[in-house]
This record gives sequence, structure tokens and C-alpha cells, in this order.
Amino acid sequence: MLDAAMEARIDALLRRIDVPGDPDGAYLDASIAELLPHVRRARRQDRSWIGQRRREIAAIATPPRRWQPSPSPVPALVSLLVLAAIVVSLVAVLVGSARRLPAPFGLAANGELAYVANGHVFLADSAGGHPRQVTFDTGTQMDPAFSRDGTRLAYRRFPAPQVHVDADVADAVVMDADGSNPVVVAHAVKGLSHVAWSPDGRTIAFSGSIDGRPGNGWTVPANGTAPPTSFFSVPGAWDPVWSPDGTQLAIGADPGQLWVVGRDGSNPRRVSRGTYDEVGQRGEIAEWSPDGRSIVFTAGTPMATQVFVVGLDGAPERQISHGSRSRWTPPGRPMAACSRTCAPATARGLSS
Amino acid sequence: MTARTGWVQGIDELQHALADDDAFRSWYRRTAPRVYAYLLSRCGNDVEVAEELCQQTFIAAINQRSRFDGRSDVVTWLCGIARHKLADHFRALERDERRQMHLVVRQIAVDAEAARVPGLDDRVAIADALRSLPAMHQAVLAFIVLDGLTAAEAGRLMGRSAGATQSLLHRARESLRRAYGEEASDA
Repeated sequence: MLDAAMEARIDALLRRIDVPGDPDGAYLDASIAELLPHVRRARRQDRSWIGQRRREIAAIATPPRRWQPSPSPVPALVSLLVLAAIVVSLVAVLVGSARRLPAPFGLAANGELAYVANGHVFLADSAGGHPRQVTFDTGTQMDPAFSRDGTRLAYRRFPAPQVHVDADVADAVVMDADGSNPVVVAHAVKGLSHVAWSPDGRTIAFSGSIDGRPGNGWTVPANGTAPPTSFFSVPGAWDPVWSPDGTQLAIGADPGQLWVVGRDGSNPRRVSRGTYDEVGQRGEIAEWSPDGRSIVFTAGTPMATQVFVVGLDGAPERQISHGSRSRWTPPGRPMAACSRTCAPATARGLSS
Repeated sequence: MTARTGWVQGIDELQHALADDDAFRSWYRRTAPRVYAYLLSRCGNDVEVAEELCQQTFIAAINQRSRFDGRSDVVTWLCGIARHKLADHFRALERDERRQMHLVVRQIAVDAEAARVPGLDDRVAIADALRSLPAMHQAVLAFIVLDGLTAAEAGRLMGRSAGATQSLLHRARESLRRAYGEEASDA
């Protein structure tokens, strides 16, 4: 029988072999080759799992209809009338008491969050829980954006892991919000901007260059049934933003200009008069007022920007604050502007 | 970093690793050496066994990916799987020992010859001594001395009670002392 000291010596002796040991390089290569079929099968299973869950959800949402004859039609009719009266009363009360808000503002529930991690799009609940990956392509996925009804998701897909956004080509992709049915709506766009959903969710707008074709601003059906159509050809155009009614788009152009154009390319006009190094920032060039009559935007130099409001009546823009970001408040009247070091304490309400 | 963020990052890492072939290759080359090293020392520096168990560990990890909840580092999770593979290996070894006891004895003699090479690294002699022990002696030393498990935890892995595992540990230490002492004096 060993005493405690001898046991400790034996244990110490044994621990001397617990040191790092690198596997052979050839073993790693062979091992990867053997493991890759397992990885691919797992990927197929995961995709199948997502599709299965989607079909199950669809089945729950639309249960099979069966005709069930009512034992007595009169009580059923009375019940229906009472129910209809209750619904009409409720609607009348709600509509009468609720404040009418212009699009795109209005009641909304907490939905899901879309975000990018390690080059892939993930969805999570509104508290950040239950994250799940919904893109599985190679390369890098960026800037997921939900359609306004939340049923679909558009994003940029770059083929390479490392991305130079302005120089690389990318695809604009639209898929169902659960990650199924991805459709490439625009192929190989050089300098592809963020993708902007029209308010009705039927059209995607973006900027970039496609195969040397004339045009810098494009719209394309969100279901990918037709190729992109150019609506704007001013050089250096970028980041279109839909008007609330979906009839017009604001779009930036070099150097430091803000333009507004009809969705079909009609009536393009420059609405900013000043000379700026830059207008807006990538992905947030401007924001339309809820009534669609004016636009708030930031402009200046990269180091010093100001907030401007411009109407569509041809009048020059008005500088309303120094700051780097600005947003319309829901009623469309006052506006909050933030300084570059934006924090709640520095925000202040401004009258438009 | 909050705990939740850590969980999400761990899950992200695994999902990203399985998302495409290149990502997997990169992730595997980063994580496999750590799992391999864990196994190698615990199976007496037997490279073939370590490679085989490492491979089995990753296959199991891929197939059981939904069980990873992100509460631990991915490599920690992988080593947990590797530990079970190691336990399976020791159990299989024990079954073989019972069936082919004479062959095992002969193999030990061959290993002892190899250990007598002058100038042999000390750690090699220890590993050889460990490998010459009965499978369950190797297992209990690996799980309790190297992994720091309790007798109850190690016993669950090996299908023994805590008391039996504790007794086994005493015998395993004695076996190792004898095996190493003989080899060390010969070296």
C-alpha cells in the first residue's frame, strides 16, 4: 500500500506527460477529408430542419378545412350577427380613440432581430435569445433588412470572406424570413449599396454598377421575376431611400449631393443646393418625413457634419443643427438631433 | 462579456464552423490539436489511439451539434466528448485484455525492451509505463489524476461505484510505480 507522499509523487510523475502534442499534418489533412462528408450531411440536415419547421408552421396557420353542418342554422346566424356587432363596435372604439399615424409609423409588435455574425445572417428573438443561422452560403453576407411586413429578408452577399464593399461585386438576395427560398434578385453588382425595401414590399432598390450598363440606381422585383431596371444614372449615386408612399426615391450622388427621383426614373432633381464633401453616411443617407414632403439629411465633411432639412418645393435646405444623425419623431413634427457623441442626455427636440 | 454573450459566441463559433467547408477546415486546424493533445497524454502517448479517438470525437461533435448549448468553450465541450471516447476505448481495451491476456503480456515485454534504449526521454518512459498498465488502471489515472474528476465522476464514466473506483485508483498508482520504477532503473 502506498503512503500519501508516494501517491503524490506518482501523481506528479504522471502529470509530466500531460504536455501539448501536435498532431501530424498529414493526419489533419486526412482527417478533414474524412470529416467533410459528415459536415456536409449535417448542413443538409439543418437546412431540411428549417424547411420542415416552416412547413409545420404553415400547416398550423392553415389547418385543413372541413365542412361541418350546423345542427341548427338559426342559432349560428344569431351568433354570427352578435359577433359581427361586437367586432364592429370594437373597431369603432379603437379607430375613434387611436391617433392616426402616417406611414411608416404605426403600431408594431416586437419581432425578430436579424444580424450578421462571422459573415452569416442570424435571427434572434427580440431579447437576443434563440439565435439561429439562416444563411449558409460561402462568402460574406451583410446588411440584412426585413420587408416592412416582416415576412422576407434582403441582404448583400459577397463571394469572398474578406470584403471591400466599394470594389467587390456582390449579389442582392431576398429570402423568406425563416431563411428559406433565397432568390438572387441582382447578380454581380459592383459597389452594391444596402438594399432598400419599397413600402409595399414588392420592390428592392439599390445602387451600384451592373456589367457596365448605364445606371447607378436600380429597382428590381423582390421576387426576382425580372432583371433590375435603372432609375437613376447620375455618376457616383448611392444608397437610395424610398419615400413613405413608395413613389419616389432619395439618393446620394457625388460630390455631396442629394437627389430625388420618381421610382420609374421620372423627374430627377437635385434637392440639396450646398456644396458638401459628403451627404449622409453609408446606409443612412437621408430620411423622409412621414408626409413625404421633406427630407432630413446630414452633410458636410467626414469630420464635421450638420443636420439639414429640405422640402421638395425647390427651396434650399435649412441647417437646423450640428450633428451626425437625425431622425423624425413619429408625429412628423419635431425632430431629434444628436451630436456625434450621441447619448440620450445630448439629444434635444427641435421644431421643424 | 456577459454569460449570454459567451453562450451565443460559442454557438456562433460552432455554427460558423459547420457552415461551409473552408470554415470547417480552418476551425478544425485550430481546435483539433488541443483535443488531440488531451487524448495523447491520456492514452500513454499512443499516437494511433489518439488520432482515432480524436477523429471519433469530431464525428460525434458534428452529429451531436444540437446538444452544444454554449455554456462552455467549444474546446471544453469537445474534450468532454473526447473523455467519453477515451472511456469507451479503455472499456474496449479491458474486454480485449480479458480475451487475449497472453498477447497483452507479450506486448508489455516488447514495450519494456523499447524503454531500455539509453537516453530515452523521461516522459516517454512514463507514457510507456502508463500504457503497460491494465486498461482500467490507465483510465482511472487519466480521469482522476490528469482530469481532476472525483472518484464518483470517474466511476460513472467507467461503470464502477465510487468506492470501487477509489480502490482501483490505489492499485493503479501502485502499478504505475512498479512499471515506471522497473523501466526507470533499466533506462
